[in-house]
Amino acid sequence: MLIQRDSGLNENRDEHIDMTPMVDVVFQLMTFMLFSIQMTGGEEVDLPVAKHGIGVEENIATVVTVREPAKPGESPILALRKDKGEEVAVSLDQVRQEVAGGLAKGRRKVILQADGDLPHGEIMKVAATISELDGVTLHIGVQEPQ
Amino acid sequence: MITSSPSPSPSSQPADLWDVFHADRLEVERGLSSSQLRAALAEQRIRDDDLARPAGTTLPWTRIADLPELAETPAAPQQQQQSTTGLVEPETRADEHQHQPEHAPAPTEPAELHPPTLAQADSLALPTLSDLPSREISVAEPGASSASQPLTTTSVTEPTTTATVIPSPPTIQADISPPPPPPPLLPLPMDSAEQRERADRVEMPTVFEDSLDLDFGVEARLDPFGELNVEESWPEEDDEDDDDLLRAEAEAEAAAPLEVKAAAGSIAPSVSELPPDWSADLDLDLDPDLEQVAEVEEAAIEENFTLARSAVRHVEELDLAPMVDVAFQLVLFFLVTASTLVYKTIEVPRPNPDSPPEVVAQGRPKSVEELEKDYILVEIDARGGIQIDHEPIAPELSVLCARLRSARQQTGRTVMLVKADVATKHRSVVLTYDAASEIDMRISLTIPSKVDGEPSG
Repeated sequence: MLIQRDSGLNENRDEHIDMTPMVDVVFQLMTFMLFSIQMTGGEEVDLPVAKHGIGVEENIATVVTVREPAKPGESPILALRKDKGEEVAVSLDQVRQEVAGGLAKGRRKVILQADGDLPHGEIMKVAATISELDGVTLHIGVQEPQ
Repeated sequence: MITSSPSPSPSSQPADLWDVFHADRLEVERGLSSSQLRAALAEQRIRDDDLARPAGTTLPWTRIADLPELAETPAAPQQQQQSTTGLVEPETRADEHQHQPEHAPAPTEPAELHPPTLAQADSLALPTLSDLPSREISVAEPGASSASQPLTTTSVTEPTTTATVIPSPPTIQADISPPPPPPPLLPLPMDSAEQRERADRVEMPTVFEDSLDLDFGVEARLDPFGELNVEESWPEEDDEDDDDLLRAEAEAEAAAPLEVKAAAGSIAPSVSELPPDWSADLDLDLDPDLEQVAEVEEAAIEENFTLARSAVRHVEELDLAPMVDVAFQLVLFFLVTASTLVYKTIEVPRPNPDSPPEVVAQGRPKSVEELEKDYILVEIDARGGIQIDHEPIAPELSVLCARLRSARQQTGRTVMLVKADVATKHRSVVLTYDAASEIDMRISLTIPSKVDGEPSG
């Protein structure tokens, strides 16, 4: 005969996972995403479609956006994407300076996010300006075929 | 219902021979005559607590102290002097037995249990081996003796029987007939004086003749610790069947007559010869083998008995909630630190204005025909029309890939030279870039002459 105290372990113990902390963490993540990620109005640049391509991360490249002008006959709009995701309209010289600054920081790649309907000459103009800097590799931004 | 047992078979042994069981040595000495027994008693080689029974029989063992004819020895005064040591005096026992009926109910109620004496055995029809059951617990004989009767039950004419189970008293029958006398009590092999005293007090009636319910029985047993346990038990419904079963078992267990050897010394008894051990858990219905098994089990239980509390058995449990929280924290960390934006791009050679003019511009000393030897010329006009080596093709990716692949195979040229107009749409040029990437062909660009802002001529 063993005098044994009941250890309190219930063989039919409930093994359900309490979902309340999980829901709390999910809410925290959602709140963080709301304040850290800016909601954009979608891609304003109609990039050309390409089946093949390589991925380039944003943090190692300088992104230059080239959009159609507001009015026909005008020069296309050049924009640079800042670290916070904002786009700032710049001139061609500023683009060169920005590329030079990125090159100094180690960002050797330049991505041209150009609209597909833009003339090839305008693209080549920007490309030629960027190509004046040594050590820069030029990438044409494309999108997946739908 | 307990019935009288038939007369036993005649024994070949003399009536004055006895088998003696030494309670201290647990040995059986056979073939002692009455005189020898008395002499041994006088010499203290045999004690009053030792058991005896007629030689060559399987009658229940009886304490020598309960056999007056054996206890009445020349050394009887010595035994009386030694009464202080715990030996029971037959006279005092007689007095006790005389008094006990006083405490007992009316003559109609059951009297005390008395073991059969030698004289009684001669006059009475002792049960045979085939009649007696294997169990040896006796039941009080109702109405067999009264207060005026001495210890011996010589007046009883009906044969005594040894009941098998105390809690199975006889039932009432329609024809009112005196119930058979119950068998005498089983003498207990006792060693200590205290146990002997308890044995004297254990003699309790088990059958009440005038009770309202004759089926009610009282069972008195001594537990292993020497405590007296009185249990009231109600018999089963089929008492008559039990009696029949007992009789049948007794007949089935008829053993061969024992061989009486000369009393040259004590003989180690076998298990079947020894009186049963008085135990509260004694179940006389068990087979000897089962009894041994029960004893072994009890011994095992006693060995394993412990008051120590066993270690609490902890069941390993894994709480998943903290792990999920940590996983979420890790995801959050990598969301913050890792870059999530990846651009899909096509790497193109940068048009270096300092490159050799024969490669970059048209109409330079190196003619197009010379360039066509090294490069696959792809021309794109302002409307988006594409020509490969001056051959127009449909502006589709599959067609371009096929034409470029064939040109490479035929001519061995591995580099594609893209010549596009200034007004050519950017997406048409990207189409050629895509075709070259699909067939793994290098790309060379030509800077349009209008890039410097000069109108095309």
